[in-house]
Amino acid sequence: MILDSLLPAAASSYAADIDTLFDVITLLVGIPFLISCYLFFAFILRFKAKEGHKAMYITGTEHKYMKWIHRAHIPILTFDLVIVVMAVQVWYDVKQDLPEMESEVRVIAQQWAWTFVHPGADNVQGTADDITKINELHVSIDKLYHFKLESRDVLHNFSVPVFRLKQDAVPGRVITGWFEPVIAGEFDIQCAEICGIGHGLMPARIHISSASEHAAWVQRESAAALAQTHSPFTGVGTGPANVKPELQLVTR
Amino acid sequence: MTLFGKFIGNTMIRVLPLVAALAIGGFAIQASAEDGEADLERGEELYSLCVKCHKADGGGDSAVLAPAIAGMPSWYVEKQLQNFKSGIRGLHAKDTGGLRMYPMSKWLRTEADQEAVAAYVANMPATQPERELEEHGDAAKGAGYYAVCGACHGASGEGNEGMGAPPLIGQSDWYLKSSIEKYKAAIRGSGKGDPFGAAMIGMVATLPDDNAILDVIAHIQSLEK
Ligand code: HEC
Ligand code: HEC
Ligand SMILES: [Cu+2]
Repeated sequence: MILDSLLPAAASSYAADIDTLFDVITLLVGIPFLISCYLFFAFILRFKAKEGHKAMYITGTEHKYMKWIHRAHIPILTFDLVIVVMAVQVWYDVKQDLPEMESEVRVIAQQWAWTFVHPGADNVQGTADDITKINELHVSIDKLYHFKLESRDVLHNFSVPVFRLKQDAVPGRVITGWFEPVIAGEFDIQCAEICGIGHGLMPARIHISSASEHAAWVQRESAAALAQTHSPFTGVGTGPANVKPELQLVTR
Repeated sequence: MTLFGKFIGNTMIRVLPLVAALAIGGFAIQASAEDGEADLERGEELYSLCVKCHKADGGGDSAVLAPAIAGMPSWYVEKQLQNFKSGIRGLHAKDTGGLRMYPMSKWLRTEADQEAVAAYVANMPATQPERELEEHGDAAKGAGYYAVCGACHGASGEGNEGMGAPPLIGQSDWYLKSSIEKYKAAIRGSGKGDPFGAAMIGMVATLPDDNAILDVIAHIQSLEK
């Protein structure tokens, strides 16, 4: 498509829809833009000041002049309508409709890191075999995920360019969204909302692997997570109960 | 129609080398200042990155969870900067402070920069951080617990490079408490390849409860006088 060479890979089920919308908008806005630029400069050159030729004063209220404005208006308004209708459709699919999930990840933003909580081998969140990773999100291709996005301090934005997904994280709220990866690979995750001095330094990576590779990863990591709960040093887990008020957030 | 994309793409390709050349030129100028051992001037320049949290006097700021670092020995500061940068320290989901310091350590791109800022920090006069904890322990009881700690941190809390143990005197009380709690919960010291942190996890197990933590802090504070 038109913008392919400018955009990163399209790795989610809805990325192609959004790219199509990009193309439609580029065409519907770009062509009139080029035409108006052409006319603008062509008229400036064509009607530049000439020796002995007096300028004519036009108020532009007569029908024979107005019709050129009306004629341009009609396609522009039609294009706008097309864009609005298509955009609302895509918006509904990506942000408002919530298809049935196959797995759920928790995404927790804070100054300046991402914590991703993956379900363990049981595929259930909130159990002892959950896999907690910092700045690493591991997902399987062709699996529909819900994400639960939280912020521990200020506004952040969970942005996965290859998914064409952006979602603000708002402190105090848990925001649900979804994605379905369609190609394997390792891609960037960014924070897309200025969140303080380290904003530019909170990059993370998404690892999309085949179903079997992902399953193997989950097996290995959830076994490790279970082992860790019984830390040989202390017998103290790393559950939230251990976090004292001093460790919790105070922000400016 | 891909022509349009290609056109913009090509323009970028033409402009990028220029940008890169400018950037490399900038780095070259910076690099020339990195010669020589622990460059204090460079250290001062770099410390401007730390001021936002550790404050101009290096006294720290509890509101952003940044501890006092002024006057800490350079070997310890350097080691911690390396630990943060390599993700040995700070990269734990519950380590709020550590996750803030972790990206900051990436600002120091070279070992020479780590060394320079560590030397500058070590050179700053130590601050006397205010007492911020509301609860206070019993220093006399704390002395009992501290017998263990003294083996590494020194009888008067002055630290011991041979043991890799930092000084504890002159440190903010809230930070001592949060550090001990983090070791207890294996939030700090559990990173891969952190034998010193792992040792501390073992050591704080000798403090049975919250009161013991406050007691040992009270004892450390009594060493400062
Ligand atoms: C955004 C705030 C912030 C900035 C900027 C920052 N730090 Fe920190 N720093 C912290 C926090 C928070 C901690 C505490 C980490 C913890 O609790 O484990 C810390 C801890 C440290 C420690 C460990 C102290 C100890 O006693 O173990 C050192 C050393 C340090 N910082 C040096 C620096 C240097 C040098 C810079 C500048 C290049 C810097 N910091 C910039 C927030 C910051
Ligand atoms: C085996 C030697 C050893 C003993 C004994 C020991 N420590 Fe430590 N301590 C260390 C080392 C090494 C570090 C630095 C660890 C790191 O790099 O995270 C440390 C770090 C600390 C810190 C963090 C300081 C900072 O600036 O971040 C505190 C607080 C602390 N120890 C308190 C104690 C207390 C209290 C005791 C006694 C219960 C104790 N230590 C016993 C070796 C020891
Ligand atoms: Cu952010």
